[in-house]
Amino acid sequence: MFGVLKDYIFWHYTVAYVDQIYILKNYVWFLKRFFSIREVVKSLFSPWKRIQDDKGSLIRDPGNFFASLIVNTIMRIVGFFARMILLLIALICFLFLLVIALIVMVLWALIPLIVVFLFGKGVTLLFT
Amino acid sequence: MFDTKQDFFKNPSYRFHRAVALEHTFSKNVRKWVSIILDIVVVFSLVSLALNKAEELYPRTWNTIDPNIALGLLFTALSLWLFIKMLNYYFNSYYFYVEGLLERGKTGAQTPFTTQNYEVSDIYYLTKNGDLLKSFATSRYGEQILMRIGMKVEDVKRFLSSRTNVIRYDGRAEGLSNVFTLLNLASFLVENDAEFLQFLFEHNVRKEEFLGGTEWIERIVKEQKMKEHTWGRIALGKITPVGSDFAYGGAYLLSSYSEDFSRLVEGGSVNFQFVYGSDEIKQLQTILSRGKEANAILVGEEGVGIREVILDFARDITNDYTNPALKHKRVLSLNTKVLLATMPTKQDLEVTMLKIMDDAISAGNIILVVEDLPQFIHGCGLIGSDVMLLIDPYLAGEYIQFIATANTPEFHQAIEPNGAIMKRFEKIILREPGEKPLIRMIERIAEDHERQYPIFFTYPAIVEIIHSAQNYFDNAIMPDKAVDLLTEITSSMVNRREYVVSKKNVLDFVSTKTSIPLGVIGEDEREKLENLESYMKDLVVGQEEAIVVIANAMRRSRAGVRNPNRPIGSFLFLGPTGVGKTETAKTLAKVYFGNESAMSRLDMSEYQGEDGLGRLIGANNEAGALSLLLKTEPYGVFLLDEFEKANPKVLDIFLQLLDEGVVHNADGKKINGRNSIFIATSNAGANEIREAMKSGINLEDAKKGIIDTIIASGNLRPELVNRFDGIILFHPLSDDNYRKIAVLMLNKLKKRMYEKNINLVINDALIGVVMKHGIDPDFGARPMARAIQDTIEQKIANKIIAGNLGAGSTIEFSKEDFA
Repeated sequence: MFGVLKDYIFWHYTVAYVDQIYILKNYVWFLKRFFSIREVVKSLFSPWKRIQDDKGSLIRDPGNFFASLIVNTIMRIVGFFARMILLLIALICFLFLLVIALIVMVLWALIPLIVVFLFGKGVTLLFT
Repeated sequence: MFDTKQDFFKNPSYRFHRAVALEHTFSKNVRKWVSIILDIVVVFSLVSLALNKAEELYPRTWNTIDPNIALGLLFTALSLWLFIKMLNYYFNSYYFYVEGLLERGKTGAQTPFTTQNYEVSDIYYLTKNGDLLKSFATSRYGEQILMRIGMKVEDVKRFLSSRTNVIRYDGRAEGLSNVFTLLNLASFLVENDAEFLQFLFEHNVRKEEFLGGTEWIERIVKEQKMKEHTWGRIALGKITPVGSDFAYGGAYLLSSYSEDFSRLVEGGSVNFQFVYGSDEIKQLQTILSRGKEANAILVGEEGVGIREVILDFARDITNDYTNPALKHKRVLSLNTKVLLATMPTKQDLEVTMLKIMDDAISAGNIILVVEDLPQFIHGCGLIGSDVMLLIDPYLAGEYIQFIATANTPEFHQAIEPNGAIMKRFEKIILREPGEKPLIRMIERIAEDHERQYPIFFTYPAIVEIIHSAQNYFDNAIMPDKAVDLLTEITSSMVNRREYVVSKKNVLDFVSTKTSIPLGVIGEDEREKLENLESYMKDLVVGQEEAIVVIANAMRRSRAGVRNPNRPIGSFLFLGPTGVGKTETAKTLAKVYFGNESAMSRLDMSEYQGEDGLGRLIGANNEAGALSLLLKTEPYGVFLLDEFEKANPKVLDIFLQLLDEGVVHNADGKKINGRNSIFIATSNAGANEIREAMKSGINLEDAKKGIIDTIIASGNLRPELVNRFDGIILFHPLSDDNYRKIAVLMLNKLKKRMYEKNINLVINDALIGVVMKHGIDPDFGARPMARAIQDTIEQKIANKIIAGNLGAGSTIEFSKEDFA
């Protein structure tokens, strides 16, 4: 019995933490991949959905040229804001993940004590 | 007393020991249920506390329990709930340890294949008194393995309790130091326990099948664990990213003319341990990762699985198992048929094509698949467009990658000679997969069938499906034909309400489909094989020695002693005309394949000219007679009449066909003759046979001399003569033989008359007239059929027309009728 408890405690404060780091790394990898951070940053100023109007010639058809220029600029602005919103959501998710991970890691250290405390308290309340 | 022997299998220092011990004392399933009960208790306590609080605020009778008890229940349940979560985490940490290593691609000392797996530890834990075989066979993994190899639980139990030599492995633990996986353990057991091996052998399970079944179960277990390992990269990688939609373009025009392979494979099972096509996919990844001219053309026979390779490639990109250059790429397959059908003119097609290409480039992450490139080029050519010239700048550029596909003949015909196209594409040849990848692939398809239908495939059945598809179905190529066979077997079994597919079921199915007797020899067939001579003697008259030689060859073939890489049998029948050579071939088709029409016939005298070879095996896109006949009737007797008269080049083809069972036609396609019996007939040596008979010499004694004479005359080359399984000399028939043949033929006529309700009496007068007109010194019994037709049938016909013969009448001829 004592051997099992000793092994568990050893695991709880060593191997379990290594596992948690691996799991955290997996989720970080997942978020990076899910939001395609690198690609979104690289294309931050690209037109939305890369839709661009053919501007044509400034000399031959200046009206069309400037109309297209405006459309293209709008598409870039739309693209920029859409990507910024996505990056913001990604950032919130990363922060949320880190906060959760920190809470879990801290709580993990205390969990054996919490379990013992809750159990002792519960039994006392039940039988007194 | 410390028991060292017991200690080996329950050694607490093993990595997984405590997790296994936990599982066996407080299993995952029990933990799940306890956890659910605790959830209910927590909710109940919280509701009670809330009601207590409500009572304090709005006093009335709520019939609540004491708040201290509710709080006590809540704390206790919460503590136990947390305790179970801790146990689950503790268990999972070990249970998924190897899967974690696998995901992280660990190499070096600690890999999934050098670390004792949880499943092996689980079996060790069950071991009592060192009887590892028993713990293996009764463990949940062992039971699944034994079921997969087609063993019955009762048979295994009986064997375990009746073993004469129970091997205790606790004293031989050093042998287990290299046992890490279930496969290692199965291999160890089968190598160390001769009695177990013998038991498997007696139940028609070979060592390779036992290990193959183990590999299958181990793969299923690992894949299931990967799915359960929801926090692992493989499970997380299945979730489709949203970011690339924001980063890249939509390729809207292209999307309306294409099929999105990346979407097709989304959420599909991860190709983490793919085996089939792995080389091709790696090649594809390397080529498509290049800076420019990153285009590949996949070439293979139809049915070899080109589309599957591209889908696997797309799946690897979707699941992020690819190199950085291909990350977030979208694989779209251009729907060339729709494109061609909707573009009436060259201009429409070219404008749309260019727009599509620009669209793909502006999207920024497109890999464009053009399936069946030769047909697309041809289709565009019909409306006058040179599509390759049109898209050449895109092929040469760096902004879009192409994967084209082509089947082998069209590739050699239309693409390979075109240097301009070949300059832009790197060729990847897809070959038929080897046996091991094929087994994995068919196993996976069998698993799909098992999910859809109430059916269970044993491992030996899977192997047999592949062997049978390879040996008996030549009209398609692997893996298509094996998949087709598996699908047909599934529907046949489900219709018959049989649910476990064994090797025997596969052989029976193939046997029914092909008419080739296969599998275990049944009682009826055994009797037929043992008495093959007498069956044949009833139908062939006077050629007893020939029949004995053929019957022996057929028995060898059916017993499985024959070489599968040769025809079932090959015989050279020598002798005068009309002595029963063709009749023997027909009889063989009837007796062995159950049908006289299972005989194909080629008159080799028609292939005397220089063009003979082309007409026989095909040339200039025209199929040859041999190819066609072997394709339409691959299972049966193949009669080659007047064999020696064919052109020497034609005869050379038979050197290979008789030796290896296959020849290649002009297109390089294989013509399979391994499921046929080849019978070549020849009149060469007929005079020598007659002389020998006249001199009273036994034909067998004269055989060598006669064959030497034939070879010396230049009719047949010695190497060809030696290729035949048997050379059979047919002797001229005696009067007694002719009489028997006459009776046989008259009986056939009697049968035909009987169908018209006319009873024909066969008497000496009839036999006499047939013998009088039906025997010719040069043509033997060949004129006999004509004689029956000209004399007897004619007379009967006259009587019927004259109205002298009605239904139910009997007709009997006398000598005077033929005077």
